[in-house]
Amino acid sequence: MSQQSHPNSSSELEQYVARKKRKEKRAKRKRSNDVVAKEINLVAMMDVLTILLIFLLKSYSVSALSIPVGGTISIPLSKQTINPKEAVKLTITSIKGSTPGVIAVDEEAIVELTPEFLAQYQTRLQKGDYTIKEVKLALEKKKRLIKAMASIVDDVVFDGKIMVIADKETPSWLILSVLGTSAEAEFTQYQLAAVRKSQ
Amino acid sequence: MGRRKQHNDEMGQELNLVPYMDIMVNLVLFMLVNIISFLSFTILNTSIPTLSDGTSKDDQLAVRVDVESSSYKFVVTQGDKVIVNAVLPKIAGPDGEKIYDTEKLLQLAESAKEKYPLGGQILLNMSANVKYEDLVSTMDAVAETQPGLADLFIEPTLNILWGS
Repeated sequence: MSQQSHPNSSSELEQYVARKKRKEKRAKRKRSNDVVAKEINLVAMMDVLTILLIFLLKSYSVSALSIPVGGTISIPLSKQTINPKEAVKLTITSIKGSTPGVIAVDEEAIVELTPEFLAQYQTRLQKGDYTIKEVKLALEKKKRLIKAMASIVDDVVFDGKIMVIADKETPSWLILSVLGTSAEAEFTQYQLAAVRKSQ
Repeated sequence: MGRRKQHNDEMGQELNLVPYMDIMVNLVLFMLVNIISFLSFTILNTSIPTLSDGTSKDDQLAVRVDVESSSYKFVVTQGDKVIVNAVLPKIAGPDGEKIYDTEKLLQLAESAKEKYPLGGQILLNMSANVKYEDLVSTMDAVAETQPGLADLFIEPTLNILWGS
């Protein structure tokens, strides 16, 4: 032991140095291996994230339905299984909340559904006048925009499709009023939106 | 020698994936928060009454459901003649509240479709204050069909019924 730790002859010294170098090399290699092992393998995580992103992007583009306006809205359930198609969205938010609901065309709130407004239009509908003037103007503007786009882009066509996304508490007269107003603006393909009931 | 060393160094360098990961994680989170298609949506096609040219046949079969505030009225007519006239009052629901009897309505719709050569059209006369939720459940009931069987009434026309 003492010979090993304190070499006497030159050959022993050489052997000692060589041993020491080998030991150091081994230790260095071990250290570098440890560093590699400690690194997280990000490739698998990247794979997962990329697949998830592609799936989400696809779902995002397929879903023709989004509810962009503020206000509360609770959509009724339905057993139907028809997929929503791209259409102009007409949203009616809850009229029962603390703040008055709104009628929105796509993302733009057009009319505030105050109690006075509702009473006024219900009376007008009873007399046979179902047109909500502000909504009609907004829809006509939308129609002109789509038609202008259709004249430039081949894929765009004005097909008169309108999707009504309404709160489940909305009275039928308001739904009918909105549908009648849409018909006046040449939107006659109605789709009522609902949440698909799980079977 | 120097060029080979430089080339080896470049090959040995790992791509810095951290910024890419940052973007991806943020994008995924943003989309997860925004996306609503996990709630799968559906649509119900409908129409509203149009002006007729007055050429309808007198013996034409027609079916309608009057959705009144306290009952359904299922009516089948042939011209002026009423063939079926059934009233389905609201029933007690699971929470004790009164709900429309959609099951009975479905049975009536099925039996009428079996008995008479009715098409897919149906008129839904909605009482003015009936909720949209009830409108959807009524449309569901009259359109529902068993797998493998022909559709019931998939072309509902909506109309308003005042004073009921």
